[in-house]
Amino acid sequence: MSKKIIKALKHSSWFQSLPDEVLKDLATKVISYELDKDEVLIRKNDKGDSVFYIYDGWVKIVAGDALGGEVVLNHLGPGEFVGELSLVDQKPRSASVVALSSIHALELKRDDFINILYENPEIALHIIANISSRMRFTSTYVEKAIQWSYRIASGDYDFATDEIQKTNIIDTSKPDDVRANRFLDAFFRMLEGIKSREDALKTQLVQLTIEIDQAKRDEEIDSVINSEIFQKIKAESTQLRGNRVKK
Amino acid sequence: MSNIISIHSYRGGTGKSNTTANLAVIIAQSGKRVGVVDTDIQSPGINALFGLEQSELKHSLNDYLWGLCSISEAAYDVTENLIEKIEGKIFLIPSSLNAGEIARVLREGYDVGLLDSGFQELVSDLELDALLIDTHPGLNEETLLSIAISDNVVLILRPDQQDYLGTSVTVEVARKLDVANLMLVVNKIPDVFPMDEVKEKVESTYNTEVAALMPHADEMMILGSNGIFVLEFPDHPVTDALKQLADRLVEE
Ligand SMILES: Nc1ncnc2c1ncn2[C@@H]1O[C@H](COP(=O)(O)OP(=O)(O)OP(=O)(O)O)[C@@H](O)[C@H]1O
Ligand SMILES: [Mg+2]
Repeated sequence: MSKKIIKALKHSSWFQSLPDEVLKDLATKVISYELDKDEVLIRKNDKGDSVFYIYDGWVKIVAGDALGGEVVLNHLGPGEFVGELSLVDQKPRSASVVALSSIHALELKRDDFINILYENPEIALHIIANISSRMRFTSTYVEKAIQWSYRIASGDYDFATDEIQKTNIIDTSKPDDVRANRFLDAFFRMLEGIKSREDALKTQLVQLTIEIDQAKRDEEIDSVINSEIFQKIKAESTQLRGNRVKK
Repeated sequence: MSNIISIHSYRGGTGKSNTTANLAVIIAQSGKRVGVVDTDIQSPGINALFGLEQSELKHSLNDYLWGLCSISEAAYDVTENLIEKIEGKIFLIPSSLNAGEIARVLREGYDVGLLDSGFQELVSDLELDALLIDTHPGLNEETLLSIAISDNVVLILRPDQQDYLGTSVTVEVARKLDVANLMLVVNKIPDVFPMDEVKEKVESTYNTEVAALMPHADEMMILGSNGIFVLEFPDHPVTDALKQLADRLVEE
């Protein structure tokens, strides 16, 4: 078991440069998890005092929506860390993490992590690199989302087709690309939702329905044409028009 | 031969007065002499569009109907009141805005036959090429008379359930009066309705030509009947529709 763990740690960007003795020591401190699909790795609001390393399989990061439904924020796969922010800020978990397939994950407690960090400060660089690449990813898409939102607000939905085409060139072996894809997918799904609701509303309004109660109509026509006034005007009108033509 | 055009609607507030005034201006722009009679004696108002105030009125249609003046004496040349110089002339025959005089008409009535001879007199005295008649909504005696004697009847409706039945009744009554040209105008169309669908639907419902489709326009509300829309907003779709309607009416 321990060999397998050492091998797993060796594959991670954070620990790959550590000397074997350190890795061996580290391997005794991590807790190993093997979960089946749909099992929960991290529960939202739990105390945040450890980081998880996904060694094998995929997980989804989920938050709840207002209706008690599930909103998937992200997918993470082999070689990725999850919950690393709590190593720094120790805040409760901001979302739950659920296995998408059967997974192998390793948990490292904050105290043990800090100890290793003291002795091997270069690990900090990897962690920073990891966090910055996520930040870069986030800010790129926040910017895009802002831009697109303006266009949607002005009723311009046409850009979506172009953007969707661009996103087809995605390398599914790169976690960031996969994440980008998820983001775009969610965004464009939202767009489609808005558009189809709007279209539905339009066709609802567009279908001008003209309803006329025929019985009532006939009754009203009768009451006008049977009136004395109508009869008089009708009788005179031919003559009135005749006069005008003669003039 | 002069062209008598009545502008009607079964319901109130459909845009009769604004349509009448704007048509008058468009027709006069081509050099024609146009008369406009406000036969909405119960709730007059077209004078405001031409900037003519009650205090300026020496005579009105009411005086003519009571035998107090000739109809030409109640005609005011309002051409100069427009914000733009136009080639032709516009004469307005207003109804009295005086509450007492309005009440008197409602109480005592008048000989509606006088309206017809008044129209004839106007056409010949003022040498009018066209006479436009703005009416009171509904199917009262004046309305029936003006429908009966007109060459063209423009019936305005809004895409509104309140307008459908009455419009249908009016179309049928107009047919029974053998109107030469009856056409519908759909006004205040919200922009969610595609115009061609509205046209098709209305034409098939009433079996009558739709001569113009006018979108609902905030500019019209803002102008608030204080002027002539086509002069204030020459490039507006409502202006285009009114011009098209005028073409259609003058060609007859
Ligand atoms: N296309 C339009 N878009 C928006 N508002 C309009 C439009 N046409 C007319 N209106 C507005 O509707 C109101 C009624 O117009 P108008 O007085 O011309 O109608 P009317 O049929 O003569 O009314 P009434 O039956 O009271 O005599 C006015 O406030 C006018 O500005
Ligand atoms: Mg009016």
